[in-house]
Amino acid sequence: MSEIPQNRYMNGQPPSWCPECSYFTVLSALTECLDEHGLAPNEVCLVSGSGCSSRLPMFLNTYGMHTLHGRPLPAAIGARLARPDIPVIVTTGDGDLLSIGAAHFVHAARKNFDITVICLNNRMYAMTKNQASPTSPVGYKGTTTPYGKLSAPLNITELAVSCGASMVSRSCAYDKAHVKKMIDAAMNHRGFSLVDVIAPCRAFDQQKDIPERLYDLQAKGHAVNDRESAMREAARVYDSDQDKDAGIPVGIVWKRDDMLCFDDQVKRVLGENKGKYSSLDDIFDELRPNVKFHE
Amino acid sequence: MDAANNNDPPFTLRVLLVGEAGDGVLNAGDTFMRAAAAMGFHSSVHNCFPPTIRGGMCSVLVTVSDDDSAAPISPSADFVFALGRASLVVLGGADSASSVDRVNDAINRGTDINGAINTADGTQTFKLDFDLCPHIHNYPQLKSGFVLGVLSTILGIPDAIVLGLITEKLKAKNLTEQNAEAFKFGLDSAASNILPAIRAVNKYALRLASACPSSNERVVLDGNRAVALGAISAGCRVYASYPITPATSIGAYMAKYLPAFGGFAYQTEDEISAIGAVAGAWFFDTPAMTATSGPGLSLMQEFLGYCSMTETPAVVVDVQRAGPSIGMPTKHSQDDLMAAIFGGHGEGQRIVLSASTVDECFHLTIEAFDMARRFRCPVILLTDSALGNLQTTCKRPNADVDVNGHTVTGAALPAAAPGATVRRITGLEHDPKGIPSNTANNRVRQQYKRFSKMDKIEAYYNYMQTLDIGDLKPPMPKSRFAAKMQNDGPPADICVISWGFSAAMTRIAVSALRKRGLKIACLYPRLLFPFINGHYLELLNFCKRIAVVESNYTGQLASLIRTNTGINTISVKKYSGEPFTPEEIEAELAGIIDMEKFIEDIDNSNGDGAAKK
Repeated sequence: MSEIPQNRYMNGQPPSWCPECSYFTVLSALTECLDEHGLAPNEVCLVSGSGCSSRLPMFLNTYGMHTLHGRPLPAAIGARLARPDIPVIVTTGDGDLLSIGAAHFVHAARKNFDITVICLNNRMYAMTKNQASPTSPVGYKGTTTPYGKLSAPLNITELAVSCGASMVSRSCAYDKAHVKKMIDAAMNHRGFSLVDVIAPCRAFDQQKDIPERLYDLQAKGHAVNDRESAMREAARVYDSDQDKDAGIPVGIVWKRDDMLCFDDQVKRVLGENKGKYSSLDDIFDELRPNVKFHE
Repeated sequence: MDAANNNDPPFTLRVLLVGEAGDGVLNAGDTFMRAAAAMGFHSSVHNCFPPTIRGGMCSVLVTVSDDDSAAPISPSADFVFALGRASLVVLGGADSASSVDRVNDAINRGTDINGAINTADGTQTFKLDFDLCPHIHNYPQLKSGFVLGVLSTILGIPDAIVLGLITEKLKAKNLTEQNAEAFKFGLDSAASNILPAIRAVNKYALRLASACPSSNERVVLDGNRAVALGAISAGCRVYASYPITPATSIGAYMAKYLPAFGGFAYQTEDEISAIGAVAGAWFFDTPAMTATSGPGLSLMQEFLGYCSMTETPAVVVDVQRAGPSIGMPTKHSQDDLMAAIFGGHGEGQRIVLSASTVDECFHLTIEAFDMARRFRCPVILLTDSALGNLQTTCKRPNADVDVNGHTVTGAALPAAAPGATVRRITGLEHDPKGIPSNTANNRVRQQYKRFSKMDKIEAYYNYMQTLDIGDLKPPMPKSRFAAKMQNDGPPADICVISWGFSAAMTRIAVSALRKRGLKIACLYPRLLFPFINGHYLELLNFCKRIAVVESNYTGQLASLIRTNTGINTISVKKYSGEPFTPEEIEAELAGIIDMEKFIEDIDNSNGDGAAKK
């Protein structure tokens, strides 16, 4: 699991993660995916916030922005508006995306920007050494919750579907092939796609029981474009947080190809307005004092 | 202009329109201003909100003049129209405060006015008989048409001009006919009830300006639109913002114009997201801008630090309003200077500019992009509520640029971490290749590199500061930076420094004081940070008495000057939410000169003044 990938996307900087970190699986799956998509390092942009997961772009030699805590989506949207020709992938964590950056997540999903978000969800703050995050279960003991977390976890899957993301999937870092499959599907999707990767922290919260509890939605024949069944499976994410014996769904939870994509709307507006003004002089002409009655 | 009567003093006419929301005050002001502009006059509309009018929600001051030296704001108005419950017009008010009192008085007494109320101070008050027009009852916004009719009768504006504007303006709103009808009722009503009773009708008549410059040379612009057009001219292709008074209209203009130029204006969920998108676009060297006001600037501070650290350009326009907190969102203030320069965590290099006129809003926005490219750091352009909303005729800015080009392109300094093909940036301290590094040596080298590149700003942008010494003798070159008064020339009575909208008003005040024979040296800085000492020290060559005129409580520029140069200045401050009028500045400066001379005389008579010199 801790193998550092060796491929043309790595910039040779030793990753700053713990040697046993589950994130290496995701790093490996992501770079393999980029390769399979035939993307040169200068044909993809990775954007991250701050935290363990957000260090990821710093290990690559693609376009990379390591931004502020919680703010990868605003920067990614700006990058996307500037360069609609290359894919923008956000690597983030549960604290980054769902706590400090929650407002940006809600609106980026709602506007359905063509951005792929990979959330490395270890359901805690690892870089600051073990505090409860929005996705930690009730009773989670971190350094700032010595008597257990007092509040219920946020269900990222339900949130994403209800906000208007057009593709929501889940995977688990214990299964690299599946992570790769989910990232691949997300990159192929036009619109906002979230890959929620269960990626336990080896240092603070190993969640060793997870592999036995996973079940694959696609194997089960889940109807991905049906909102009701998507929300039903999404709800099981919450149940699995509370009930240690409950199954944990992975796979594509929700996917629609008929939702308005912001990028397409921008393209339409630009197309419709092309040639409306050929230069600023046209605008200044409009702004001249009305003189046609001055004769 | 008005070549026919060169000896006449400049003709200036001011009309204050007051009313409740929905009375069409803004519409009437805008149309009147455009009518005067179409006749060849310089004209402007200033949105002002005098708190003393009972029930008055909004008001505009229209200034019409035959040269561009008339201030767009003033304590006096020739006409005051009250469109709310009062339905009055007051003519010939010596100052609008007394007119406002009169309107308040009339409201208190009821509005049973027949004919004119003539008062000893020369004002005349008439009732506006809106009931004459049957539609106004249902559509109070038609009062604007009626008022325009009254104005046209009294001032002699050709009907066709106003009717043309009404038709053009309201064609989308489906009330064109009714408005034209209201206009005619206004015309007739004024002709029979007001015009015959006016004592000094000739004083007001607007002559068609005989030498109006050809229409191609002039445009009607407001500060916010000038910013938007400047940005487009500079190559801005991504605009991101969150609505906030008084900066919102920049977003509206960008949304309207930018797509035609291949760019997009994006409304974000908050200001953090707006500056984030700007940083993201500049990451790919796509020029991007956001505009906001004080509270938004606070939210942007973290990303401004990020841009400083990663040497990512960013252009931020702060249309200042009176803070802190929500404060007075529609009110003028210049209280974000310190926030723009220092607001944020850590120490990051940035550039702060300030515009004082609508024309400068256009040109300094272009400069802001140029500087952002050249220095790869955030550039904050300060304007303010009065300037942003000031709509005025002005010289057509030079827009000699095609859809793909820029008027100004500075050669960019190298980015933080340019790879051969890709770029990777991080808000962590990093080495010159962009790789995170915590070492002491690297930190010292990088921090020095980021700040020392700003040293070049003085060489490039010296022209940003305007030193106006009138007919004073320029100082000898060798003594340029000497903090000592020169003996070779008469000293100035006072030196004046002002920035932003206050600087525009100060110019007018200084010109009046110079006409009174006073010697004044002025500095109008537009590049406020990095702080360039030389320009301020230069003033000491003329006089040690230096006044700083600015609209804030703490004297923010005065503090900066003291911190950087050790010069103690005299602060002329106003923080009421209304901008300085030239008259106020004139009185303040004259008062300072008198007081200082008085003290000097005492010193001299005590015998120790001479020793000091």
